Amino acid sequence: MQLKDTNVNDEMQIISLDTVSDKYAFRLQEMGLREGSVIRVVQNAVFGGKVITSSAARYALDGKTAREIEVELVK
Amino acid sequence: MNIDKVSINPERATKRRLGKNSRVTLTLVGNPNVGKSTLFNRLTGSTQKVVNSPGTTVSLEEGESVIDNEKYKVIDLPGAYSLFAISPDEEVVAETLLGSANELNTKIRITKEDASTPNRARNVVVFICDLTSLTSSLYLYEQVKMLGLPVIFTTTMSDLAENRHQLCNTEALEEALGVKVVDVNPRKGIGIDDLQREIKYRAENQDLTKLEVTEIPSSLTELNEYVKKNADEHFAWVSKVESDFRDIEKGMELVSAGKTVAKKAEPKAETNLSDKIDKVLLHPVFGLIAFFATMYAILQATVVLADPFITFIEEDLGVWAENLIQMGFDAMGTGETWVADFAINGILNGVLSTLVFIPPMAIMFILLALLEDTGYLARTAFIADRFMRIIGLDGRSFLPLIVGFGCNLPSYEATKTLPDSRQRRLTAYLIPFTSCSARLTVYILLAYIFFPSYAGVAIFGMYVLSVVVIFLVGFILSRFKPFNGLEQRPFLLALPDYQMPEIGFMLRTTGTKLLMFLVDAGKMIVSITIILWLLQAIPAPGVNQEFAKVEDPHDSVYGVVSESIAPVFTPAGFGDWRISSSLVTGFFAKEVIVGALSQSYGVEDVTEAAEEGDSSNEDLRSFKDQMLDSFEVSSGGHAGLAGFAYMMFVLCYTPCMAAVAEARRVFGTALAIKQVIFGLVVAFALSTLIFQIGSLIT
Repeated sequence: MQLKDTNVNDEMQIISLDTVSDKYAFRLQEMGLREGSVIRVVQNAVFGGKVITSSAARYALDGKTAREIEVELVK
Repeated sequence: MNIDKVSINPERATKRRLGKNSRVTLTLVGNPNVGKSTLFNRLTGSTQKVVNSPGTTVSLEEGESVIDNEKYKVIDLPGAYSLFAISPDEEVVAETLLGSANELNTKIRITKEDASTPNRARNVVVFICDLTSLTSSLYLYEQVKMLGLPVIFTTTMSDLAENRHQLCNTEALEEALGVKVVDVNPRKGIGIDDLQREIKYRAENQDLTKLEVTEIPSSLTELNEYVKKNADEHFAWVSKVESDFRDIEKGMELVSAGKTVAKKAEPKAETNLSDKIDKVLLHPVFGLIAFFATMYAILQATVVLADPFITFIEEDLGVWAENLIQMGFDAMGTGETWVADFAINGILNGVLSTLVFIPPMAIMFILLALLEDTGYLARTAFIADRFMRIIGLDGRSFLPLIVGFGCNLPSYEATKTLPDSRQRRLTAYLIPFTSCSARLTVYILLAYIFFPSYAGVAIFGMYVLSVVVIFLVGFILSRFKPFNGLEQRPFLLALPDYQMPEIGFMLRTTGTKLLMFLVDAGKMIVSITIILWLLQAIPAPGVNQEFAKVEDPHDSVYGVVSESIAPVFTPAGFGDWRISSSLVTGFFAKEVIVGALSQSYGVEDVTEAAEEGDSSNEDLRSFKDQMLDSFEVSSGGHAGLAGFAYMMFVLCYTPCMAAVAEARRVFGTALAIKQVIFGLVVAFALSTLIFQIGSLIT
């Protein structure tokens, strides 16, 4: 499933960043959003955006990127 | 970008510098929004200046810090997540650090060959690690460390990390990292003394004879390859440090009586007050409402709150100062000379023209600092991202643009909150198209003259056109280098927790910025005002009047200049010297366009009558008739169309001189000049299009 389809408090594992362009996929990985990382949705925001937590950090992600991240619910 | 240009013949350059006792350079490095600029402000006070990174359009803040009577140069590098650069700003970070590492290696080699050369490293990196975003900070640190530069590891946001029950014990981090950690809170000034002591110690105790040359990449391309190739290793190192940090902190707390440790066992963000606030402020509906309400409140505040202060400066202070100067010259018996006129209409006018911008700028700077300090500014970037992305900008550019509708000047400083130099520069090009309140008087007058039956619609239409022009110009510019590609980047931003603002620090920072404006931009504003005075004081060739006694501006050199450029506006339908003269005057201040037109048409200043819509005013009626006549002539019978084209020109052409001076202060001379030329081209193109196409239709 895509990150955009998840709900608040869903905890999930990142499965794939394949649809994100190479240049930016590496940046997402550098910021901790790597395949296998566990993230949690804190808030659904405007225009399909998401606020997520990864480790202890909170990130705001735009709707387009949320559509490009494949995830799998773990809880 | 090529690293060669910063490391050309490094050995010779280094030997030359080693001979002199050059100052130690402190380079501040860290992720975006870690408190780096706040620390820079703490360290440098009012000694800051903007410099362009050589060969790039990225501007850096540079300042001076004095520690125990020794001066240090401080450079605030742009925020970066990695040395694998994906923006010009990150390229500058990578290039600067790589250049410094090259230089250090050269120094080490020279020192080892010749022990008589001074043996101190002249570059110290102050790395700033945000404890609330530990992972991304450590990841960048690992890359910086690899370059072999002397690094002071500082932490920020330890109070927020503690509130969130995250890892925050800097002693534990020190043990996990194996390096000294200095914890600072730049907002409150806590830990600055410790940092200064460490800077001094590190600057004085870098014995190059004991250091070894570090194997480093020789170019940015190699650096990128290195970062990508070793990414897994770096991720693993970060995980290990985090794990060690957790274990050590847990161990320390077990020793310390009365503390629980379970809550810090996992690096997991708990729901806190910030999350609760975000439920409203980032809500798909309420978030947008709150955002637009905040932006509207800021626009209103810069206009309404500043107004009484501006009136005081223009009317009370201006009149007092003028009377005082006049009395002084009268007492010396020189009250009627050109010197008195120069002092009042040249210098004093320039000083007052600078001072009137202080109130809106002060209000804007305080509000901007408030948004940034509380953490809401990062949210605005997120909320407005979707619609600003169309023109390659992020939501943070919304604020400078909306403020521009009040006054263009504070908008330039507000662009500094944007993370990418391309976004900052693109926004700077768009700011002059925001229709500032000074232009309103011109719209009112022209709408009254040319479109009396639907003046209100015409005035409102100018604001709509202003927004259309911003998006149209932004859309076109964002499709060309260097601005292209910005709209494709993903939006991923670390959100800080909400905090109570540090009022004292906010006011000090605002005071510093205003002082810099007064000194830097003030000089330019006064100089331009003096030039205007001179142009109006020198009689035109063949006019038999005294210097500084020219009654009709048309008889001065200023009139000659205005007349000579008038034909340029013929394609737009307003090739009349009186109109071109008003546009020249409008460069000095948009609000005096109406006054200049009144003077040219030989009537009393009709600004007030036009604002009040006083149609019974004799001067206004005479002015209207004369202006319609001259537009009829210049446009070949399409006065209304030419009037509309003129309004469009006033909307788009160069911002006022104070705004140009401020753009120069914030972005440098090149951008300030380009922006003026660009505005003139757009204004000319649009007004000519309106007139020419309109003439064909009507």
